[in-house]
Amino acid sequence: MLKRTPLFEAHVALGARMVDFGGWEMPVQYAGIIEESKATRTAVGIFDIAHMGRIEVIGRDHVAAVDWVVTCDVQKLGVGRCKYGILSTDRGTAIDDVLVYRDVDRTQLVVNAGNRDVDIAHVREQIAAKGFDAKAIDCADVNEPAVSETVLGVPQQMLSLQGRNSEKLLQRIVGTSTDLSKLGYYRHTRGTLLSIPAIISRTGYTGEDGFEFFFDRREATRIWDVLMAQGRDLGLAPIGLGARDALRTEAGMPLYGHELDLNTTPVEARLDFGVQLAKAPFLGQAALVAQKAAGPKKVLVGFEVDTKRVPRNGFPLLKDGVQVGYVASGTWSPTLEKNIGMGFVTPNLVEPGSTFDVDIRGKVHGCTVVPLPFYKRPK
Amino acid sequence: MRPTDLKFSKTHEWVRIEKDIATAGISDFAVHALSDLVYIDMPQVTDLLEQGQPYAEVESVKAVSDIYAPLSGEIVEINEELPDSLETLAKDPYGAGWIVKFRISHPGEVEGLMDAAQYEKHCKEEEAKH
Repeated sequence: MLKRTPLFEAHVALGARMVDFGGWEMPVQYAGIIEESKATRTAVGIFDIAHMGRIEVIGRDHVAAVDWVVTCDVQKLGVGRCKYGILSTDRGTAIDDVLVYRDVDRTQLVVNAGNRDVDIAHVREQIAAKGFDAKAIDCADVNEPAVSETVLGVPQQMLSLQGRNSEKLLQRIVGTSTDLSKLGYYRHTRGTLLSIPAIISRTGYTGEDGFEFFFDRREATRIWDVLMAQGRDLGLAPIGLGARDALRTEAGMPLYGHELDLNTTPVEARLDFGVQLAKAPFLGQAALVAQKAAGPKKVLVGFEVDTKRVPRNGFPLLKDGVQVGYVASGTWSPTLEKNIGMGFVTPNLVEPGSTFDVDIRGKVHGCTVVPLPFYKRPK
Repeated sequence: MRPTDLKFSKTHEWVRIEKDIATAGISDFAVHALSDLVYIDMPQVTDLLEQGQPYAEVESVKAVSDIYAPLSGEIVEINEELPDSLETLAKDPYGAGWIVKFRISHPGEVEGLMDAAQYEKHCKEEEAKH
């Protein structure tokens, strides 16, 4: 049985096509992937991301506990800041990629839909194994009594606004509680939405300016409806997972299961900004340090193709007829109007300008390595 | 509205038969399901079609899909305009959005196709599955 977010009916009413994503019945598209991508790049898009997991770690050792399980430095992360990191196995491979929110007396993780159960079990197991004075709470679990100990105290809904008009729109329902123009990139704050308590961060998964915010899931429909109505003059469009995937690929952002998985490390995926090897000991550190020193055998690159065919996940990458890797993600880019891909290749092909071939259903097409991201928003 | 003089396959291709020449394309249902089409890989004149086998591929942002031959035959003409005006597939799938014309080699295969009423029912059933 697929799980549904509180906004399921709202998506269906908007004519969304619903699909299974990580065990959740989610909108893959409303008006269409190209149109939705353009709306996000030129105005503002709204995303239901209630399928994503939210873990709050409380207790005296909340920082040390999270710092042990993620690859990024949480000890040095200031209160009110967000940071990207990897939940790593002891082999250095990725259990998930997460966003860490450092709060005064607690640390929060936003995790992927398909991994939330595995992630929370892993965090709890590590807390127990290391004897931390900390407790991990699943903030979205309606059957979790400990949710009362979280910041919001109730099971959460999570929404995102992305695009250049997102600040203007969100400010309309934040009111005077928070001046969003003062909330910097990758910062979060406690505030209110229509007078309901909320956690608001200037983060996202599209390469645009934008916000992600958590609040009482019972208010999901009301907040959604008010944003939909108030966003009309700002060009607001609801955005499905199809456009979300195209947008994050354009922005060169990894998707768990594609650029990261249990056989891939963040060193191989070249996510150095999310890995501080020299920080305090953490799970997977020794393996990652060793791999960094020896050099990974596969590395992630961005590439363009000389064909109108789209490179897609799993397609073989070849050099002189010999397989040197595979495509992790590929899409037709609605913003750049060309085909783009990310793939793992041997390290000799990492430099921009390097060439190899992609086998698209039996036909071979030329690829050229380009720097990531493919798309950077104009400042 | 779906034209009533066409025959349809379960995989959402249509065919219009005029004596021994057939014109083929994909249905409005298929176009809607695919959405965001970005490329079509066309076959060539003289290519042989075999009923139920793929003869062209369409790329959407999300996925690549095969287009299957509704009947067997030999291609005599392809819609040269189509690759550069893919939007016609969505706007006029039964007219300007035609893909190939071919000489029918096994006329008896028509028996395996659906008429417009049967196809309508088939689409409703597929929709109900989702």
